Amino acid sequence: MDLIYKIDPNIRVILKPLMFIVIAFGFLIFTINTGFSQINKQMTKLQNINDKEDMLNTKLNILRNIQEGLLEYSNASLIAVPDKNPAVWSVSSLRQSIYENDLTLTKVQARANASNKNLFNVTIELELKGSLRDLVVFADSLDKQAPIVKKRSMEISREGGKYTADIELSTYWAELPKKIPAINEPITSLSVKELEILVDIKNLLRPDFDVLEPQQDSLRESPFLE
Amino acid sequence: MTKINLLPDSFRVKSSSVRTAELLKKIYAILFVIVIIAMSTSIGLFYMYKTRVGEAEERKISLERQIKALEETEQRLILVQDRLSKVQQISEIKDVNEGLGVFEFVLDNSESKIIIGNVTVGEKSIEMQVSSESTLDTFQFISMLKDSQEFSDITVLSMNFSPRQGFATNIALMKK
Repeated sequence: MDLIYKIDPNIRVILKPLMFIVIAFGFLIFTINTGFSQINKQMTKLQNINDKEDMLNTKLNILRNIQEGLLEYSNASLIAVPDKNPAVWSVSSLRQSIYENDLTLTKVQARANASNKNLFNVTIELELKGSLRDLVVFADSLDKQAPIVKKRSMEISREGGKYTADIELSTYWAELPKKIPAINEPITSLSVKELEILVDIKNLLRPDFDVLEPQQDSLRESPFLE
Repeated sequence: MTKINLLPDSFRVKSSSVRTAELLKKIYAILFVIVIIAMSTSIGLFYMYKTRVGEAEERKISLERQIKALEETEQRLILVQDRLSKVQQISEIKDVNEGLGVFEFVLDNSESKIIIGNVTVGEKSIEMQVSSESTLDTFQFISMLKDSQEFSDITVLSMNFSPRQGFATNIALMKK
């Protein structure tokens, strides 16, 4: 306490307010540093949440708007490009079309090809007999059937006034998507072009059956019983 | 009554020092007010943003719940988009559709005097054999193909004559 009285009174008189100024200044620095950095954190957090909220709103609107009719589109698209080898369905559709066009099927062969994991394909070779016009009409009709088939080659030969066509077709299948995006991930809506393709897919002729049901064992009667 | 300062001169404070001290007190007062304003502003802003963050978080959770309820729709949308990408991939694979179109044109426009024999349909072209009883019929047929303006290239690959078949001509047609 005596020490303070040893200081020059001219300095002592300004020392007290000076000390308060230093303390107040310290408080100000602390407030700016701590307080405003906390506010900044909250603002950043709010901005992030608002961005996510906008994204979720967009996602919700897409899902609500698209809900109608999507069931039918998804079924049609799964028949157009199935998740299993579609050779049986394709051959069934082909036989129906061959019958409708008055053609005779003399050979049919299907073989699976080595392809990438993304899209698998099966080659179907047909040998058909009939009139030239019917063969062309049949080949045209292939574009309108599901599962989708591609005409890879076509050769027509004429012998004894009758025409035989050798047609090589490819039909495709792909595994189902394995995961859906996380709830916080954005999704995109269907474009006008995609909707047009979907309408085309929906209008494709479907096979008579699109599910291969396992057959129940039937009771076998003993031939030795009277 | 006269005031007498009993303090020794060494303890007397200069008036300039007193003025400086007064000035410092005023600065301190102003600084104190600034500190109070800054503190109350920052506390106020902090709580305001904290409340807004809480409200936004609640809205986000509510949206997530609504999206979760539409999970089946989302699954279907992902499936449709996946299948569409596959359809687009398939559409890029080469086929003989255009070549078949060429052949259909020939079939629609050929006269009965012309008999179409073997045909190989390519991506944009066809090779075919046509037979007729006279060369005139074949030339008229080729002339019709030329006048149609449908083809970029018409090539006569070979021409044979046999008494049984007549004039057999192999023609290659390339779509324009």
